[in-house]
Amino acid sequence: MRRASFLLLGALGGCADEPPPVFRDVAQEAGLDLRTLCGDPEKPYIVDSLGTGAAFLDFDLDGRPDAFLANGSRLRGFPPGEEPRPRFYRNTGEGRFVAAVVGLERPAWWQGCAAGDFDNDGDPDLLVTSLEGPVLWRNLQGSFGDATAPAGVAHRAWGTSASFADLDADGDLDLYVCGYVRFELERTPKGCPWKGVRTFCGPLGLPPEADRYFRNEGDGTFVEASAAAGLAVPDPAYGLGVVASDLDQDGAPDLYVANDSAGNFLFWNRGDGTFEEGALFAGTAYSRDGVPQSGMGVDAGDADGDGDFELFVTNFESDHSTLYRNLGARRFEDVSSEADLEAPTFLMLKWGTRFFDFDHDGDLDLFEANGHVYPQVDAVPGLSYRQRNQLFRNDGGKFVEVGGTSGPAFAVAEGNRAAAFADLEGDGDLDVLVTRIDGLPALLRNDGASRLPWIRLRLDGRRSNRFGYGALCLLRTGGREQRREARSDGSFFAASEPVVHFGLGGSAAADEIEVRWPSGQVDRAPRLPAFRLYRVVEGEGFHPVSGADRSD
Amino acid sequence: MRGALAPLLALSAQAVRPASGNADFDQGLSLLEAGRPAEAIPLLRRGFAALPALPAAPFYLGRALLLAGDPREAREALERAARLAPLVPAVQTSLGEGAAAAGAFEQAERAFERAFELRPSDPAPLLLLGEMHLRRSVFAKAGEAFSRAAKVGEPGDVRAWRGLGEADLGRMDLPGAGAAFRRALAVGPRDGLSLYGLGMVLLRAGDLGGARAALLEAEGILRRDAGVAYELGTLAARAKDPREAIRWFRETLLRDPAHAGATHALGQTLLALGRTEEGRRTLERFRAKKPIFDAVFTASLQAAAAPADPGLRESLVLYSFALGDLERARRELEALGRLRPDWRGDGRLAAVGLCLEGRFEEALPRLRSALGAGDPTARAILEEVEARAAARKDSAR
Repeated sequence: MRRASFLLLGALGGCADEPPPVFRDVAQEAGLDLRTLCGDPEKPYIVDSLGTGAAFLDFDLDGRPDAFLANGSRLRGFPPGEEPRPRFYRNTGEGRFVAAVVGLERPAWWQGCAAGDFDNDGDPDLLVTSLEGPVLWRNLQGSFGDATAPAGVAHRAWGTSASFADLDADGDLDLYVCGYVRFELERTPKGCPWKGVRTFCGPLGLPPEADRYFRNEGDGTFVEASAAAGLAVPDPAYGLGVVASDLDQDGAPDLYVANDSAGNFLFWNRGDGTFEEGALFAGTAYSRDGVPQSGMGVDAGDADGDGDFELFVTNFESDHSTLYRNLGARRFEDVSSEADLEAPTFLMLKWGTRFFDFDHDGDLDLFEANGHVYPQVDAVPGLSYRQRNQLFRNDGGKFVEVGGTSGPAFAVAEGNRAAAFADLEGDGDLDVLVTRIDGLPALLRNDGASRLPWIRLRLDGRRSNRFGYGALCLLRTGGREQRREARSDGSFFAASEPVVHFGLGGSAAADEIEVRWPSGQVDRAPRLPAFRLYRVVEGEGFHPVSGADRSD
Repeated sequence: MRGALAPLLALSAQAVRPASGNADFDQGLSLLEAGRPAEAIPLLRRGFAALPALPAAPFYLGRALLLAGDPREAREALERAARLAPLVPAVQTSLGEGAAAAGAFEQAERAFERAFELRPSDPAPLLLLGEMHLRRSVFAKAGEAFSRAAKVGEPGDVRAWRGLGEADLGRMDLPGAGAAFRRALAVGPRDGLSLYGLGMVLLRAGDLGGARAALLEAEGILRRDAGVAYELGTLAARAKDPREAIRWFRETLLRDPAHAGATHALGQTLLALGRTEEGRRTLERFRAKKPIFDAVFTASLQAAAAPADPGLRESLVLYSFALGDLERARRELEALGRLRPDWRGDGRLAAVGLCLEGRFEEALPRLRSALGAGDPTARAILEEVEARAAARKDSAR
């Protein structure tokens, strides 16, 4: 977003006088112009309904997040040469993008994205799932090459979201890929009843596709190790969202998987690269009422500021999004109602999401991308296929929907799906890229937050994985401590920029920042001024890389 | 939540009561009025055959079939009655009910609307219309129907206001639902279901004191309602009173052993209290039964949209039985019997039928041969039957 006048900064700590940030959809003027497609418009089958993903990754290492938009297909196919194709966009600065041919323009029915430096060579690679298995695109610095087969992650299955994380603590990124449905056209019924209309059938009644875990061997290859790692469950479910986060604060990332129409999975990391599933006993499998929800998107973040990470799951229509408060000792509690998230999310069908501090007040707010799966619901009074996105401001642990006062972007109803987050212009606040099924994407530029103090951390791992995925970053100021994890996963079908972002709540500087790397290395720096991006090199410390000094 | 509107029709049906002079018809009608629809049906059939031009003949046959749970044939009879007497509101109302039960929802809506048009002073067809939409989770249309029903006369019908509250609650419109339940209580201060609804609204709105007062009053009126006990447990859990929560969740399970929410919440609350073993045991039971809980939930939703689908009834028999809810299994089997009289040809259903008659030992070998090995429902049914057979043996010893 645009830089604000220094005059506006008058009183740090006087944020209450600042107008709240607003979001504007600038996709078209920014150059993100790919109209994506996902199946037939009537959505006769479940494959037609999920939409397509998006990723932010700094492909060319120029410090600016580039963007990738996946594209879909349709069951009856396309004549050769007319197939929809994904598109990669280089960020040319000032929030502008230019389409670039970089080798991953292959047509397929693409789904979700995961970004991470799997070969630890210093640049981000990209995994894109599809109806027929994933493709792992290795960053060749200038283009991408298909590394799927040589890397050992090839398989034919309908994959959805995926996560790169160092799950076995050996310094490289492992991979978890959610499976959805074993779709066979001839065995899939059509026209199931839903609230008086006929819609596509499933996922209930269709066979679920198992999730898969690929352990990185450290030499650029992976081994499928779902069973060996304890990640193969006896009853697979319809996986749609995944986040790797250290939920029990033992230094090892756990995995939380949002499942459609079934209980969610929580795989506790034993610390040796093996896991045990414990969602039911943790209280995160179902809603408070013991009802399996239809998990779509997911995120983890310290929403109540007590130092551990809550879980947030977006769900189907006529059901609320679920906020699980972390109680410690591997226990959670569904506090959606207490947090005022039950009623406002109830009628929406919710997908991409993230905890992020959009207004730089020092706590984590929430974004939800919304849109129904059934075009036929337009015939049901009170429901609509196209829905507006929602923004919730964290107000002392309760969430207040502020979309109505957060700019025109939140007034537009569309078939929203994936949501990826990044600071596109390097101005310090977080912008949101939202894909829309059978439509143009939205790029929600955050206008206004950048004049309020912020700090961002770009991690540079040495013993740990290269971008420090899984590192715990602590910012202390004014007697408060904020905790964030470096990662790119979560949300739905999306990969976000892995740069760690803090709003300082009015403080001109951080009293101290501490980075606890997955390797065990701890780096600290005292008194770091706000309005800066710092590069943190594992074992070497903090280096400012950009940002104006707003103190003068 | 639920509503019981059946008596309405019995009253309005009087409007077409004839003096036929046909003995079968008259006797059938007497049986129907005595609450014995199944016995009335053969007599009313004969009466209908003898009096094909008399609107009351297909009408009462349709009513009897409807009450006996045969919606498809009931609908046909009521359609015939409506052709013969299109201007009689009670006939249109019954046709609406028959069509709704048979899953012909648009036809039902037209019939209910026609009935109301013919007698705008009677809210009954709109109440039935609202109930039909509620069952199908079409809350906006349900709310519209109840809202119109509530406007018939002052201060309106308690069921209409309550239905509007339920429709608003289904859409999570808490202010709207709260206002509607309060209007219902202004009309009928002792309406337990409205107090229950209001308690649910206040709980979700975070007014724990108000919710407690409403739910306790509902508990005093409704008595032994599993839903009210569960909400009181949830309320106690939210109020950080785990011991009270446990008491209510246990009470819920006494009232409804197949209450999935209470089983889950009880386990979670025990764990939160540090009663780890007990909590885990409870949750293990929940996990073991979970596929069935889920299946019942889904099949119930689908059955509301397709009430005359024998496949769904069959599933509900098996699932309810697997959860140990023999009462519901019995009801569903009765309903299935009306849709599929040859149900005993299915080994699983026949075995469940034997169990419901207390003949567990005979049922066991039939079940073992009829159930698929890898099916969690089958596993749960077998476990249920084995446990009951063993308990019987023990008590016999």
